[in-house]
Amino acid sequence: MAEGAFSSFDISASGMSAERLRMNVIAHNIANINTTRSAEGGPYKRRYVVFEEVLAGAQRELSGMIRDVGSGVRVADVGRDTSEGPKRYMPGHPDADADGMVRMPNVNPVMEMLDMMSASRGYEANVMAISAAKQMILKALEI
Amino acid sequence: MKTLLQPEVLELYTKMLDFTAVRHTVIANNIANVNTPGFRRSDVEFADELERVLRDRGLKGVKDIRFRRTKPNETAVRNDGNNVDMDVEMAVLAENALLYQVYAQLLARRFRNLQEILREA
Repeated sequence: MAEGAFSSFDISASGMSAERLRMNVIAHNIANINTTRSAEGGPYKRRYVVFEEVLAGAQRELSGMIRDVGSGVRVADVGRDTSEGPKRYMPGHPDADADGMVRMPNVNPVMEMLDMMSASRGYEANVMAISAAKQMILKALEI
Repeated sequence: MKTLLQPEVLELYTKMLDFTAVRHTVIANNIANVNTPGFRRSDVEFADELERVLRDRGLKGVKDIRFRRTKPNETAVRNDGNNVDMDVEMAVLAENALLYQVYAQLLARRFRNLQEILREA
């Protein structure tokens, strides 16, 4: 973990990689929006990421600087949404039950799209924070 | 010579650079946690303390100022318990980065002035 002026790069990078992982999970959900067979049996269940603040690491006290400023974010867990998906009438389908109904994945495309936008905005904001830090450091070199 | 150099002024500029650097780290942390459920934004307080020290002890006291991390409560909280407002963070980020550049510029100008004086002497 870099100290002082450069530690904000690590913080913003942790935000970027967390949002990128979230984006990957969303892409995985969308790719499996019609998957009726999964490893654990039954239709695909939507996955979601759980973010967690990282506090340890940045403990320091330099010329009156505060301690524990926080050091970014990490993905604590990738969870499984266990709710049941909708049933669709597809009598010819190999996974259909006696009534011709097929249990579909519980992926909601609108929700995934919203999550995707939120992830991409979050990523961009972290990029902005890094470019601001770069400007600051370059300016300090002019002293 | 003391009035010419005025180390307290350099001290003040350095302190302001420190402050903006720490504040940038804290804001970057807020932005990184924009989607973390239950996360509360932090900020760094300095202006009140600086005002108090300048009033009581003048420029000499600046060196001993400590920054305080605060968790303001007045901001709106989303459904997931997070109160990071992206617009606020981006505005503070931009303002803070500019302030850092201002103090760096002031410090640089001060050193250039000294150089000029030494050359003229």
